[in-house]
Amino acid sequence: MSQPGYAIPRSVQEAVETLARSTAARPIAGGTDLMVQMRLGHRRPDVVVDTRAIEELHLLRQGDPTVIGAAVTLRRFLGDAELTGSYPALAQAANLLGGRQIQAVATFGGNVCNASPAAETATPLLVYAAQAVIESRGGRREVPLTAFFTGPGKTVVDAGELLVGLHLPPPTGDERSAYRRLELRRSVDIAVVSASSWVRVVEGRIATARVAVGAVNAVAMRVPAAEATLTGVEVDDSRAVERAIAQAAVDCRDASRPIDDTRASAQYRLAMVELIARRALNDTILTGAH
Amino acid sequence: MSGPAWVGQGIPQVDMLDKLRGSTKYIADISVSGMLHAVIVRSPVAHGRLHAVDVDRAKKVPGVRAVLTSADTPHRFFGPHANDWEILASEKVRSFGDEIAAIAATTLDAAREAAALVTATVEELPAVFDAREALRDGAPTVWEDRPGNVANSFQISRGNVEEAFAKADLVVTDRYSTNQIYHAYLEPIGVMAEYHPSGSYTLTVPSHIPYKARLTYAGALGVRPDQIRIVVPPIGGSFGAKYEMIEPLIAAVLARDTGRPVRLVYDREEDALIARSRPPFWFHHRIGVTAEGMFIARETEVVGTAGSRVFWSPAVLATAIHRVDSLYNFHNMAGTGALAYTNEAPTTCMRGFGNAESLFGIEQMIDEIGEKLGIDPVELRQRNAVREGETTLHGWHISSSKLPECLERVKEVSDLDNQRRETRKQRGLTGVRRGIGVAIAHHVSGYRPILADYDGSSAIVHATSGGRVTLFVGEPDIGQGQATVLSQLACDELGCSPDDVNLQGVDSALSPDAVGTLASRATTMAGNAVVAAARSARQKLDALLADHWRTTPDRLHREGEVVHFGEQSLTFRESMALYAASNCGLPLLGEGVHRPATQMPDKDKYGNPSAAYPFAAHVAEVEVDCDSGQIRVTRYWAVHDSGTILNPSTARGQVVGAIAQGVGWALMEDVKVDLGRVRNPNFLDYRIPGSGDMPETYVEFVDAYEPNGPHGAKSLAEAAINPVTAAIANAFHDATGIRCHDLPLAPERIWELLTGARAQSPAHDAEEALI
Amino acid sequence: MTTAAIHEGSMPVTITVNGRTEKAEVPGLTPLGDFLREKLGLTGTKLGCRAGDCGSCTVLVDSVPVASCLMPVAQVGERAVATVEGLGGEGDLHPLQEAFRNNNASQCGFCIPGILMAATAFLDRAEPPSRAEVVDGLSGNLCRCTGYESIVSAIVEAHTLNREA
Ligand SMILES: Cc1cc2nc3c(=O)[nH]c(=O)nc-3n(C[C@H](O)[C@H](O)[C@H](O)COP(=O)(O)OP(=O)(O)OC[C@H]3O[C@@H](n4cnc5c(N)ncnc54)[C@H](O)[C@@H]3O)c2cc1C
Ligand code: FES
Ligand code: FES
Repeated sequence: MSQPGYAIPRSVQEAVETLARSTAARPIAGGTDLMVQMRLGHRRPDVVVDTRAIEELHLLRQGDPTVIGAAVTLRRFLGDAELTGSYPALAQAANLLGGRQIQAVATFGGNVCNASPAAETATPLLVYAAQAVIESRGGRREVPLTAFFTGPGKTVVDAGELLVGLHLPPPTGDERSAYRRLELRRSVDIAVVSASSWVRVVEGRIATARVAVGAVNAVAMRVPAAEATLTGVEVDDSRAVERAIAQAAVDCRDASRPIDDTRASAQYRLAMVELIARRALNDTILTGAH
Repeated sequence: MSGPAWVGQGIPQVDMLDKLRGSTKYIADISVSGMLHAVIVRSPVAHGRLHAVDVDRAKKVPGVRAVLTSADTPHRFFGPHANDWEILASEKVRSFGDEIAAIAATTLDAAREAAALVTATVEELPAVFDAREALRDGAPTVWEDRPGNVANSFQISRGNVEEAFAKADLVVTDRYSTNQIYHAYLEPIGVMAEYHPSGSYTLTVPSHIPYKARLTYAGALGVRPDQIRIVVPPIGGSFGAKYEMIEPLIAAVLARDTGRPVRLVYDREEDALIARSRPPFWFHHRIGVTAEGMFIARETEVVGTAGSRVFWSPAVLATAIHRVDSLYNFHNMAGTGALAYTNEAPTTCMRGFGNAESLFGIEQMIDEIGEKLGIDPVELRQRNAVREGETTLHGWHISSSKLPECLERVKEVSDLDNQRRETRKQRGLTGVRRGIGVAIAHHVSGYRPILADYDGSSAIVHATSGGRVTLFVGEPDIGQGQATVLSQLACDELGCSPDDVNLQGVDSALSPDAVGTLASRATTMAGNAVVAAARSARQKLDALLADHWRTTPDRLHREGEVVHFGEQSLTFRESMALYAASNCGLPLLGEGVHRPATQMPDKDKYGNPSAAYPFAAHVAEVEVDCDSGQIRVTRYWAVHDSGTILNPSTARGQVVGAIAQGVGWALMEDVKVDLGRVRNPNFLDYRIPGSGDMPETYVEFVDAYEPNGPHGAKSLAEAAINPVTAAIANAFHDATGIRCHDLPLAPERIWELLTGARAQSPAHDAEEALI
Repeated sequence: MTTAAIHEGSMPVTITVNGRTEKAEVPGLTPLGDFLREKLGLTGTKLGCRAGDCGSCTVLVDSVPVASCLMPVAQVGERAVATVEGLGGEGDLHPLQEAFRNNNASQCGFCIPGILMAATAFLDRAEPPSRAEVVDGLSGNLCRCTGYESIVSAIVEAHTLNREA
């Protein structure tokens, strides 16, 4: 039961070199997942590589692309009015993750790399078409978030690799998005199901739609069927919109293969993912959250 | 003399500053030199024959000082209610929590490393995880000498129930169940033990019934009770869980073996994994009523879970079966109940102690009776509630009750009738629906049968030449503010200020023997004893002052902290200096004994076990999202009769805190056990209410006086949790028309209930709107 | 290519707690909460869950409330740590302590150090917080005893006391 080693690299280069020294090395950011997992013996790294001192991982700026460094905390993002205004679904999700103490240190990189099927930021990042920027000794690669999660707790980030940040396309001004989740109490909680949606309206019609659901599959994922249902719908035709939203919500349910766990039964999750997806879509299209 | 200076004031708690500065030392904050850290090794199976425990590798870990198994303990069976406890399991293990080995090491890491190296040879046996199944023929036997798995049973009857049911115009019958609740105190269990070469022990344990616990521990260790000194540190919450535990004994045998102090402190996960929770109960209730709405018969059958060993569940069972007869007059009753051994963690008592469990169903059935007979629920309760001055079916004497006033007030302040008129207008089981519901409750202020030897309480007041007053009582403060009200009571007798007063933490080397802090007894019992002790001290002081001023004690008078005689006066501090100087330094000592007017129930359980009974009437308002099943208590009203309120600020805190626990129980808390294993041993998945889950709350205490209480006070803190789940369930019914028979009323269950209701009356579907 | 130094076992840690600089050799992953309690004897910080769920371990790191059970001590770096022991002076009380006392906003007291530290976040702002804001901001702190009402009242009151001071 010896304690893992601890390293504090100053650069991405140093970090990946350090990570490469052992296949059981792991980055640590805010530690809000990893510290608990190590204490309970669920993860047993031999070296822990602290990402806090790596400047590049703290990059946060809106632009083309918008960059959210892996070590950016939720609190910092939530304090940036421009970004929260441009990416409201992500802001809503970040705001629901943990209490203030957790938000102060929890990072975007940690949230996606921990790869919980219920990860709060996963569905908004999916509908904002985020790309993960990953570095290893071999160089840098970009992976769309749709291909990032490979299973509960698993991602394409291999041993020896570091997530540098997330790149998001810049806001164009004609898009709207929203996030919804279902929880079992009003104070700090984990989502039983979650959903994000994003649409771009061009000349009165939904030109592009993105819908993602969380906590109902092994990974958070987009729902192409729901996106197809919504595409082309005239936003001023309220009956058509209602019908499309209801169908898209059913599409989300059909795409879900939830499990029973202590939080909820699969059956409840199935019913709820439809409801929550419908609410997210209502917020996005009808209430025009953005 | 004018009215009391301190009693009735909402003064800050006397131990507040330490708590606010972080200087209160809970067990985990205490370390002594040479102290070892203990870790327990537990059973790898829910039920099995324990053939061997191999500790050889564990013993070799550097830093390890002892690795003990049952063979190393003074092995015998013992326990507070049944002889089914062992310090470490010997021949069999009966739940995952069962302790099979214990380790003491110089560091916690070493102890943990060693624990991981202990291996047990266990032959797994078929197990049983449901009390109802355990009581059926052919179920696996948990204790060989208890075939049928009956851990405990209780029967009681009065009058002629069957005859009464035959006469009833309406009989309602229903089943209800209450679930397993984790006490979820914020301070995980911790204990410290020291062994002295003389053969005695000092156990620092957060028990609030330390003297009762000491009897159990002495039995286990094979020593006389006086060979155990029990010291009670500040307790970071208990709510019944920390009464009597196995942990102090494990620490004790490790301390004896190593000759060093041993501390054992759990992490949250371990604490919750072995949590001795509120026992789950399954009730069948039957109530007979006349057409005029008068109750004439009640029958209750209960099955509950004791788990693998018996802790305090039998007392909870008895309460669940017959306490309600001192809230309502049923005139004829019969109750039976059994607790089953299962291969799960033992259960024990929790705030509300069976009474809350039984009221969850009965208070809903009373609403149902009202509906069927067309009688307003408040009116129906008024007609059947026991009244002040009555002696109830089991001989309980209600020396004071302002329950009728509580009911009227709560109806008024919650605007119950108008609100209900509004909620009744709602149609369709979709969207958000609101509902409002009422429930009442009572409790005891002490319970005679807890310690066979005596009820009551005693106290010592000790005041020094500098005017520092220390109170010694045997009832530990558990955060409920008792130290504060005892100080207030003492100050009014002695003419000093709470700033001058300390409450000595309970220490069996110093404090009076006592029944302890349970059954809502401390304020009433210790309060009376403190008043008597302070009065006897004051009489001594007055005799001296009268001598000093060459007068008689009756000519002295006190104003605040000053004693006057004519033109002359002395402050409390000055008079104490005089007292000590005149007595060669002797502190002023007062002793007080309080023997309550209780009557030990006889073999038929007839008697008056408590000196006073508090009452409460609550109203809850809920909002239900019929589409998701999410529920929220939006507003809450609580009106109480607790006699004189000694400290309105701490009293209100007790009520609000009890409501929070009731809201948690009603809506979200549930120990999820799967094949004997707790699946949610953490605060992420064992949800207790956070700040956002609490309703806006109205609390009122009606004007009342209890002749048997100190200054007219009676108990409070359990009466306040007893009606909560029922009030919420009645509000849920008002919102949806659906009865909730099982707890918790959590979103998924509500969604299932609503889905079922919609399927039964498809009319709801037609109204379904887009959300 | 350079790799960062890997500290196996213990590493030197220098941290400033309540204005005092402390040095120790500990494994870098030691949770700050354990470090404070065991190495520095500052047991005012409580550990109710060690999992981020209860908030009883809340301390300030550069004035920001964090869960000390989850922060590796090596990560604190140059930042200033403040614990409940540093909240009030010898004789005088911090406005929060005064307000908690006035409102009897504690029962068993175990959650209180963490809640006090979390509550400091409400004091710096110009406008007094509403009850709803306090309820929301406190959602990472559990209390099993009080039902939160007195705590929320105390925090609102503390803002006023702090302005007056
Ligand atoms: C009380 C509480 C409530 C919570 N509520 C929620 C919630 O509602 N929703 C939710 O989604 N989560 C929740 N969480 C989980 C957690 O806080 C989040 O997942 C958080 O974003 C993790 O970030 P971190 O920086 O703390 O990650 P860490 O714990 O530091 O790391 C998490 C994982 O990511 C890896 N990692 C970190 N950075 C990198 C990198 N740059 N490259 C590669 N791998 C990396 C680590 O090795 C580790 O496996 C909660 C946690 C707590 C304690
Ligand atoms: S101990 Fe850190 S949040 Fe509970
Ligand atoms: S006062 Fe006991 S947990 Fe808050």
